[in-house]
Amino acid sequence: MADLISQEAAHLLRRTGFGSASQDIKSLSAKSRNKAVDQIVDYERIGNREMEDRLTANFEFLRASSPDSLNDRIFNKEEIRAWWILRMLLTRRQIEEKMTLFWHNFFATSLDKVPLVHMYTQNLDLRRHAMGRFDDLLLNISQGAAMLIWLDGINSTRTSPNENFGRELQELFSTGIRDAVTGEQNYTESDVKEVSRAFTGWRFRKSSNPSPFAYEWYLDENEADHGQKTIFGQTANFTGQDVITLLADRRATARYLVVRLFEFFSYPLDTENAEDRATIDKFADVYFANDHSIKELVRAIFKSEEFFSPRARFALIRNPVEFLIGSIRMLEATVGFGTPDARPTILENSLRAMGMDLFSPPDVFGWKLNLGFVTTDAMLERFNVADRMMYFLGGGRFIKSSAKKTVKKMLDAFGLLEIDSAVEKKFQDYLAINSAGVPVGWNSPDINDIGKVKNLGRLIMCLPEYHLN
Amino acid sequence: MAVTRRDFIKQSSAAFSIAMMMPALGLSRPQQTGRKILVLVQLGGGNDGLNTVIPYKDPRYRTLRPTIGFTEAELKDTEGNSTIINGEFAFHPALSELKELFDEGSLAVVLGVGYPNPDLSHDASNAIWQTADTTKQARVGWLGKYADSALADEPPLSAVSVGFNSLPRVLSASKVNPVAIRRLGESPFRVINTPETDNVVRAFRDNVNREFPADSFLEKLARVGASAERSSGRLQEALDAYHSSVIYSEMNPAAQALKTVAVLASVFPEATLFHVAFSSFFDTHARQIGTGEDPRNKSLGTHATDLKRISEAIKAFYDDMVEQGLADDVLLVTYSEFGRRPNENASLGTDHGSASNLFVVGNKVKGGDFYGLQPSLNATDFDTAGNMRFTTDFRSVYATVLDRWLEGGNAEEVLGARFPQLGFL
Repeated sequence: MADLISQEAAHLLRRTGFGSASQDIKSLSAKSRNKAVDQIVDYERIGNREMEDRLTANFEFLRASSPDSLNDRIFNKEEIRAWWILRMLLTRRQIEEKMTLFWHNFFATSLDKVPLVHMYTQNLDLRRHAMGRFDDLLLNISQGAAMLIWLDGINSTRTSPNENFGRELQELFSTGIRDAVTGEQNYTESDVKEVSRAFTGWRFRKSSNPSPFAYEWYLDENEADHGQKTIFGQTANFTGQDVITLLADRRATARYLVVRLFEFFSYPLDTENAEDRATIDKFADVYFANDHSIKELVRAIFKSEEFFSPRARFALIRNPVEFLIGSIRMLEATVGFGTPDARPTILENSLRAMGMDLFSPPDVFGWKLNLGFVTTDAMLERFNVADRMMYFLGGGRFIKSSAKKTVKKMLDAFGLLEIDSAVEKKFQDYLAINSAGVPVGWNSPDINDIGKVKNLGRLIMCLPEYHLN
Repeated sequence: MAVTRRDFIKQSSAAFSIAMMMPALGLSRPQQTGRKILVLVQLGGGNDGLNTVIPYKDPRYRTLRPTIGFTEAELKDTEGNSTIINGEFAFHPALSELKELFDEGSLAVVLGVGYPNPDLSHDASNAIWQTADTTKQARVGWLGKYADSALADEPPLSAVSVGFNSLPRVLSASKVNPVAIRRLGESPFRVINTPETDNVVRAFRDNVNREFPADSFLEKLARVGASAERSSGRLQEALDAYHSSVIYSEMNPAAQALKTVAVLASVFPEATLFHVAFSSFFDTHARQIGTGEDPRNKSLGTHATDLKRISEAIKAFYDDMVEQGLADDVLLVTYSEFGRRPNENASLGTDHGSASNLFVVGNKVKGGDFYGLQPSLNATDFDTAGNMRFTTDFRSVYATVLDRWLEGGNAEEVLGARFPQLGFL
């Protein structure tokens, strides 16, 4: 298979990660599509030692060996957010963090209700199972303390099953309300009630492991409903585990998962369109042919014609994490982060202002992607964080002998955007005017070239095109 | 001849481009205009209507809710004042401020609000409420549709969403671009390298004011980006121009959100539609009453806390509107995607229900009264999910607001059908 052209390599890197330096794009474009995708997806082969060491050195809570050693000073919201942001900034396995972010948005559990320690361990679980079998991921997250608290499972009893989890398990975590292809209703209100009965008595407790983060699931036999349940027309004394197995094997689940993954990584689908329905089914087949493997499903999506088609190119809107982490990574400005005195607090605050506060999705549906992030105040924050980012960046390396070359150099750094030549021309004009707006030429002593280059970077980050992914 | 809102806006938007050059701009007091402002307050998550406006005399209420249901003796606010309204209903004890408004005649209750074949999914039911389309096909919100026809030529701050990250569906429109504001006092469009400010702003505007393919992501990014930069300076000015003696609690997010509405409504003549979202707070599957130490105390817990916030916030906002001379021009309506199940669950909470009640607040409201009928609490009258059957179609509330309140509103056009009007206006 032919090598990727650089635009394709850039597209693949943008989607599987947050952002990449221009030499990474160059080196990936020397590979075939299949090789490039395999290298990204089989990330276990990529060592990440340097990041782990820097994180351990940086975060005291990672070194805590007993519950007593955790306190508010070393373990709080800011710390775990900084920890995840640093991972995303420093990791050599960008897709691992991207998948973790995808699942965080999928299960959409929030610190607003769930204690910090459980949100943190859920994040570890999401990462650990991010590319495994879907059944294992779903069971693990459903049995985790975070989910048991989030959707009230811990209060659900035989005599009065709580329907919160039983409903969202189906609506949000497996089949969806309607089948993405056939449009049929996937479950009834009676299924919600019966499924809820199967999860009664699900509880968690601290395990005997001394780690402050070790908790385990158990079944409270007194509160569990062992009776017969009729679910999707079958009657048996189903357990919660049975229900998860049943759900993970439904075609509607495969289709729902495909839609969620495909729309996150590729382009928005239109289920009214027969071609798109065929696309959904094609990938649903991959899910079943590979024993419900998320990794194989994702691999197939990234290798597909659809993913590399013109329809996919710049078809999404960068979410705030992609915008922020991606920009820093593209500018190769990560070096300053990850030292004890360079906590990314400012980044956390920015993410919040851009509408994507990590560990606090807005509700059970997670963040609304694409246009959901395009509100006036969120965009204003993007524009302003771009200004701050460039201000703190050493811009010298972008200064070239002509305005034209300088603009080119800067645009290249931002990952091969597709920009109209008229815009490039305007940027060149901008570089050549003094602060009173008079054209004096790029090489004029009246031009503050470092200041200009920084503002140019900011203006690029304000282009509507820059917010596409 | 009276100046209509439309004339006023025509004049003011012509004046606007000039006014924008001047720092003190059209910060004229707009109260003489007779304009009509709507503030829609979303109690997201599904508010427990039965524990909001409580049918305390109905013996079935306590049978269905032996633990979380209020007894007559418990219907007192923290001062010991009764929150009983009449021989049939009481307000939740946290709603003492709203009871005051009810007693003054500025607040009305609409009972039994819902729609046929209730959907118990938050998302699906929200979509229905926000688009006024029970078939779930509509993409544009009901207020968006109104805005498209009545506010299309107006400046960006005519339709504003407050307090939520994404723009809610109710305001999604095809022609107008509602503005989303989390809170005022965010920084304006900044250029750290200050001598270059004018150059940068000019280059920025050139970039976002290009032509883009219609309805594309690019077009939306450009339009919203342009509006973000333009409105950011104006929001700062608004804060400076607004003065009020009303205190909105810093600790109460509902109060802070309504303060933002008050600032914008009192400063900008074009301000017409506001949506204020309190996302998912009201999804009380568990522990809607009580605290860790006092688990059965009904005057504590999540539902009481959130109702108290709403109650204080609405009262403060109402008082402020009186102070700003806008009391006759503002209508506030609450809504929630559904009510909750009459039967309590074992977690000191309630699962998803259907019919519920809502509040309508304003000087012009025929308040101190109930509209619609309370649904039956007879088990035999429940639907198959065990929920009450609605008595008032939610679109009747919208129809009333569109035809009797909003300037240029046309209920039949926006809702696609006729619905009986209610008497609260």
